[in-house]
Amino acid sequence: MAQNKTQDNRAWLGVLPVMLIVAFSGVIPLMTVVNYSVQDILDFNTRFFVGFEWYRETLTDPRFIDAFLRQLGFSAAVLAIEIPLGIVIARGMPTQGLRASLLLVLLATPLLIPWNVVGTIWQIYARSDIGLLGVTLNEMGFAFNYTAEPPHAWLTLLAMDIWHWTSLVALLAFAGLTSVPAACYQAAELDGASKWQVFRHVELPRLKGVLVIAVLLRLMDSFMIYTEPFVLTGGGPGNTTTFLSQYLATMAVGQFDLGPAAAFSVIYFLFILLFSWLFYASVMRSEEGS
Amino acid sequence: MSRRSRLSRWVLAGYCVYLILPLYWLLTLALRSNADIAGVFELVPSNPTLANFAEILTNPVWYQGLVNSISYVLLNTLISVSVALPAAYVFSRYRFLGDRQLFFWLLTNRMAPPAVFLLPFFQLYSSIGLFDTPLAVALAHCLFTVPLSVWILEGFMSGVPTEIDDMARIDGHSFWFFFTRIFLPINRSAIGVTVFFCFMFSWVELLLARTLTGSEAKPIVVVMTRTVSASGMDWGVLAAASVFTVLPGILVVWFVRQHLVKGFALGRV
Amino acid sequence: MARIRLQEIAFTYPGASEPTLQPISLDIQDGEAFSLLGASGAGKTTLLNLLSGILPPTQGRIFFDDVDVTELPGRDRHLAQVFQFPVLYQSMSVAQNLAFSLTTRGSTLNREAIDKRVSAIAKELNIESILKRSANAISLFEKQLVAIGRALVRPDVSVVLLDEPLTAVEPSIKWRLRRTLKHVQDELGVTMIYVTHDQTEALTFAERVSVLADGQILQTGTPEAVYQNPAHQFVGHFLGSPGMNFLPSNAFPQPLQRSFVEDGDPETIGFRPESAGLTAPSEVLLSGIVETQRVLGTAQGRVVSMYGLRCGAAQVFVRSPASFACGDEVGIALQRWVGFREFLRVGSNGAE
Repeated sequence: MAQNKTQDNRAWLGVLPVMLIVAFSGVIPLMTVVNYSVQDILDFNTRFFVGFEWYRETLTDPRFIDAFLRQLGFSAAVLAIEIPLGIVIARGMPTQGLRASLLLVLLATPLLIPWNVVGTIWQIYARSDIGLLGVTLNEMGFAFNYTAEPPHAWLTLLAMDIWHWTSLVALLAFAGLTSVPAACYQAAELDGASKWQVFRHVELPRLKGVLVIAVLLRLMDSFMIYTEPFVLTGGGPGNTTTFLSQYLATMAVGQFDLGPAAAFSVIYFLFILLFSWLFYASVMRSEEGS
Repeated sequence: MSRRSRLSRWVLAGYCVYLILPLYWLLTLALRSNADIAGVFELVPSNPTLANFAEILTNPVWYQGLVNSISYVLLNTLISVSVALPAAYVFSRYRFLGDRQLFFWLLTNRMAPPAVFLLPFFQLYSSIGLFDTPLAVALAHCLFTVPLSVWILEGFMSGVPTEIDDMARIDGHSFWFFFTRIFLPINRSAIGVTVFFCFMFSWVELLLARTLTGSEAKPIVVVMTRTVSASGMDWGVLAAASVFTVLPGILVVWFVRQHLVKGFALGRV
Repeated sequence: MARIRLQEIAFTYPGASEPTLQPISLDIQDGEAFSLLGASGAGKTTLLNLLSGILPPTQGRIFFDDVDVTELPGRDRHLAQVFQFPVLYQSMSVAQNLAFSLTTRGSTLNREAIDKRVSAIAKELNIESILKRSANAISLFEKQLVAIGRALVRPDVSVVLLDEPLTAVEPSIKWRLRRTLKHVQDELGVTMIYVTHDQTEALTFAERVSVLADGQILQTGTPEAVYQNPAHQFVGHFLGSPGMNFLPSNAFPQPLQRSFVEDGDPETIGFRPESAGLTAPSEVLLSGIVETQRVLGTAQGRVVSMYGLRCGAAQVFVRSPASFACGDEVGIALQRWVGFREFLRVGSNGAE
């Protein structure tokens, strides 16, 4: 935040529109959810207060735990690949010229494709009957079929997420790298530093800020993932690729089990809140340091 | 570019191929009829046809879907940016009671999982009669795009020296004049980046867009999820529709490409 | 330390219609404090980049101690550079920053020798107290000191290039950094090439100065020589505050013109504000009318002022302890002048 700010509580007028919209969009629905989470709702007129019953039930529900573990595994794999890959890509990007512009457009494009279309694109691409990837793999001798084999489904989901989101990490890292002054590279060259030393001592310190953000963003967003796996595998085969969001969506909309769904939502949200706080703290800290 | 190591450049080249292949495949399928796709597997279409694209542009279900999607994205961007500009200005220039807490609370909204809000949104928008309108989706998306816009705009605005405000005041300009004629033009790139990110959030979202619309305001992404004909999946048309949803993104990036890196550098995505 | 020799070095940017640097030859002695002075755009940075190996010369050779380094990349020339802002490794401590260049290139020094060298340099620069601090956590002034330390730490460094090193430092403490640099250069006998647009920095630091303009070296010499005896009109104009006054020789009275002709027949006469005196008007003196007066201070009990005078169409500045009022007609007596023809010096005269 800027340095010389004046104290003035009338500033609230400026944030009032924002408050109203976000309250309308966020607070009221959230309160509804919390309200439902502590009630047993049989129908519109019959509801009982049940305290933390639903929370207890959800946290011990084996399907919830399964979905949660699957989610953890997925997010961990996603981070382990996308973060280093994004950094390597960023280091290879040119900074000027037409090539740089075209590259920027290419990299940013997956970020702007509707998520179900991402799923559709990968369906078309990975299917063993009409997909370029699917057919090619089968021609090469692998009996590839992501609709039937769980490991294939996982790999395809991972490949799709990497295709979809690595650009975000790459663009963040690239932005961080462009902030390194040419003189720093020059000084390292005169010092006789090796390529690895240049990365470790000149580039990495500047990347730390954006990397923390990239990690937190990818962690949170992968934790919330719904549409792409839903379109690609529908959570299957069976429920081997059913992650947390999908489980919640099924509960809330499909089964209309409002109480437990609401409790689930609150638990989910609390996790996200924790990560948001970490994100906020690190962004604020890196700004104070610079 | 001596600092770009060989490894990085090869990985970059490889990743570009990785990105392009599925898009290329999409294009080829969009240019072929369903019978053609089901029949022969070929790398380059030998019988390309524009029929699928024509279908999207002539069939009201499809192009209405496209119109609906663009409507709510534009609405959302308009609302988000308008509402966020004064808030961001105020956050960057003033300290006030509860400002840090408010800022953080806004962030938590950006992070909120859409799945959590499905049911309450459904009930809320139904009860006020906005169900099945583009406005409902636009407002629902505001939950994420407004905080994001405030965050990004604040980051940029903090970099604009307060001397400019002082100078305008000394010159006798009204606040409105200062804000619209001096301050906003300075923040052109910030607004461009914000539009990009609003677009990035609103255009791509499916869950809320689906939950809050019925038959009137059905967005194209929902039309796509329901495209199964009697003869199985309409892959050609689906691919063509997909192409139509990829194009706006490319356009938006191209227009704001110069400001994009600066926007990412703030790290407030 | 090394003797640096530039032999007919020239540079043109690829695709440029005009050369950035005309063929230049320079001979800088081992252990010399040398300065490259010039306005922005004169070509100083290009020359620096040629020395440090970032740019290859379009023609000419560069020698470090009779070794042709023209083809060698920067890292093999054993140079060090201090930049306009402190360039340090943010994530390391001050001591680690100083030690870094001693640990690269498969260096054979052991830990003890490295620590000893780091301490010695830190002592010279008076930064022993901050050795353990993180490079992030010190003041801008201290950071630039560490940058200078990094440049000096390698015993085998051939030359230290300084690119306007005082730029980032606050004006009130620039003199401290300047003094530290001069002291260190003296003590360690390091060959230093100090590039700047600031004449005070150049003239106080260097044993010899080269004045650069439009890609050419106009003059190389000791600070006194370039100041008092400029070889080119631009040098006279650029140095001094205000610079040298220039008048066509036919603006002077006839008797003076005849004496000019004897000393090289110049078309333009240059003289410095402090090399002339003001007295009552006379037929044998250049005359002028007082337009402005700025009091500079006192010397030997008398008030010294900088007078702005009108001589015909030209404006001339003279520093004088005499007392005049605006509108007075005065005679300007030249104590020392330099004559130019087509911008080059052809003659001079004056009290030593």
